[in-house]
Amino acid sequence: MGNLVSGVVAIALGVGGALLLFYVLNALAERMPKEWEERFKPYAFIGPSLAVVGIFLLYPAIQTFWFSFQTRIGTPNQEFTLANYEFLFTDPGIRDSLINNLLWIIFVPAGAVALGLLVAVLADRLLPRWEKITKSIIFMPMAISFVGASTIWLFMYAWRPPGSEQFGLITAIITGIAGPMDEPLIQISTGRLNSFALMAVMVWLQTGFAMVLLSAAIKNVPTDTIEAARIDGATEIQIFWRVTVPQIRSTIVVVTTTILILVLKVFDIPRVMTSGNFNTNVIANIYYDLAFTFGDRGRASVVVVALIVMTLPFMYINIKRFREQEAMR
Amino acid sequence: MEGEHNMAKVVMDDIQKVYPDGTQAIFDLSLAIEDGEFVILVGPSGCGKSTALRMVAGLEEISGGKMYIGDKVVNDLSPKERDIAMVFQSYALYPHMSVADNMGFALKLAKVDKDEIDRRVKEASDILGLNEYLHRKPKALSGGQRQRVAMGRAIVRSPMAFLMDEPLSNLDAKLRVQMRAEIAALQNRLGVTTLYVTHDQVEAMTMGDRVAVLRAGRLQQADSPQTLYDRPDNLFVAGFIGSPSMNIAVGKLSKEEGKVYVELDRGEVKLEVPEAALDRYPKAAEMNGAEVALGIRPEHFGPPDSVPPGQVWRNRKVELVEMLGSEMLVHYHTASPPVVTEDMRAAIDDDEAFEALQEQARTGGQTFTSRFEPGKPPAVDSQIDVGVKTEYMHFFDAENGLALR
Ligand SMILES: Nc1ncnc2c1ncn2[C@@H]1O[C@H](COP(=O)(O)OP(=O)(O)O)[C@@H](O)[C@H]1O
Ligand SMILES: [Mg+2]
Repeated sequence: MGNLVSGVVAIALGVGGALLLFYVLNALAERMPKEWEERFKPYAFIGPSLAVVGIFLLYPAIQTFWFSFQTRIGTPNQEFTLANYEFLFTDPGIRDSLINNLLWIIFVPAGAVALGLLVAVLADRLLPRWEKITKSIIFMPMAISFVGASTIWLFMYAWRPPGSEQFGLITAIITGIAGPMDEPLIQISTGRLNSFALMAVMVWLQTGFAMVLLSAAIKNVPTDTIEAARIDGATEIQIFWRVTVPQIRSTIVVVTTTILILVLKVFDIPRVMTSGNFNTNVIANIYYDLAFTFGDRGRASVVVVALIVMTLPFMYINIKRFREQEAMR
Repeated sequence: MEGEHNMAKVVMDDIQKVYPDGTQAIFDLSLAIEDGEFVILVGPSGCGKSTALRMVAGLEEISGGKMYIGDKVVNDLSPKERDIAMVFQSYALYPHMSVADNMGFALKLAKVDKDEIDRRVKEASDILGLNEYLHRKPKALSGGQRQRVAMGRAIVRSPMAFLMDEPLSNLDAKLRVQMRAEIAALQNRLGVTTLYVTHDQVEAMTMGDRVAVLRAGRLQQADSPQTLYDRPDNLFVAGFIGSPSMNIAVGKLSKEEGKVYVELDRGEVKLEVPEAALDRYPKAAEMNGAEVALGIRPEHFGPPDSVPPGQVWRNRKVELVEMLGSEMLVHYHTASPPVVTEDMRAAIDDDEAFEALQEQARTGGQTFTSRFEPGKPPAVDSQIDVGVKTEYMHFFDAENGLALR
């Protein structure tokens, strides 16, 4: 009850505060001479948001960049150094994590979007009732935290030597059908492909999200254009690739970007499933260790800079796409 | 395109359509569209025109009967196998493709080679005046241009038949009139069998070789526009075709000394029916004393001195005069009750207008509309004498609405 009250109060204060701020700024603008008012007003409205973005995003970003060239940060001996960058390019742990991050970036958004699209298309052909049920089930993982999902998937993959009772879902199913397994089908503690076992968790979590948005977009594609294509002699598969997909392209881009940004921040899944061991580590995890376990802010910053640089090409592509889309309107 | 001409008859033989929810949209539809013929399917909205057209296209399953295109039964063929082109009401252009790609899409799917596609797209765009727009996306075109692209997409394929579902209804009135003429000319030039759907009877009358009138899923009459106008088979067709529509009232037929008369205004007025009308409606001559639905088109009235004295309807009270430049429409009161059957409701296709008619039926009169040469308009509320060219009258059974032939 207390929580509820403080929650409501917080919302009221937040919304009320914002309203009050804009009201005051507007009142201020209206008191100015006409000429000044015109000039000041736009800033009165975008100013607060700019300030928030500046304080909470831009400033830390610049500071991080700055820190990446510093050593012994926060002590009187703080000074310029390139050692952090040397560390970045030579440390094998970082190199492996960067490779892992790249794999995540390539495969997770693509996997979730492909699966989401598949489900959206197939569910669209079910009777309305079954469509709803199917989509609800696939959307449900969205409500589970990354930590929770990671734990669930640990159980999925779990394996015990033959003879003991198998509580891992995959192992249990295979054991039930084909008899005892001498080793697990999916190893999260060995091999180079074990990162994919971790990525599966994220794909599982995000497929529902992709499906919901893509399904809405598919339903928005005018039936007429599909029928026109059918009359033009297109097969169902040709219709999908040449008529439906191009018309939902902007949604595909949005969904991919959103998942991509989430993937860049991935941290909890490796943390819970492998603690970053067995070649599954990712940048955010390394950053966490450097910053909070070892307290080395210089090295931590350089890792973040690397992460930001990695996102730049994707951002560039996205902004370019977005501009093209806008131009088409 | 021109020259490469497929022999294609489209034949519907006793076609039925029942939708999965049980709605029967088409009943026993039999209609043959000859090779190269331009047939218009017209009827009030919801009467099943689109359903019929979509069954020809293969977009809608056929519940019963046989559909032929060319000499083949196509009931179970996909749209692709039927080799028809369709123009949609919304145009259904592919928004992500340029005009040229929109037009060439079908050919590309059919693996026609690139040069040939370009040649045919160019040829179509020449005909339609789209050359400047070939690289634009549909979004950057006006409504009229989009309509042309939709036409272009159909003609580049030189299909067995064109199917068009209200292709002009999204255009403004002026452009619609222009495109009406263009499409008719284009169809004539290409000579491709065409089935064209519209709810606009003016469009139907001006465009087609033949007009098929559909009402509530049943074919009423399929004839040339003039025949439909002059010899409607039933009350629905009579009321639906023509603008302003035919005046229809309950009247009583009587026979005296070998002459047939029709009583209007509940017997107060008695007009002579000449042989010419009875030749067209022979049964009317034998219905002495019977109440019938009689119809007379607005243009079949004239000044009192233009008809024999026995055909003048006197002292009509003027309610409204519309001056249209080339003609003058005069609306005046009569005491003749309107016909308020389901036929009429369907023909009027406007529930409010029909309720107004029912109201008039209760009060025992209705408004007639006459078309006169433009001249000095009579004053509203004044009384005029109207000459009735009874030789052009139409007679229908008051109960079942069938023409009395
Ligand atoms: N998919 C459908 N399911 C059930 N009834 C339908 C469906 N499509 C159309 N109808 C019904 O069939 C009748 C004819 O529809 P339609 O062919 O679209 O008419 P029109 O094109 O003449 O306006 C209407 O009563 C309509 O409600
Ligand atoms: Mg329709």
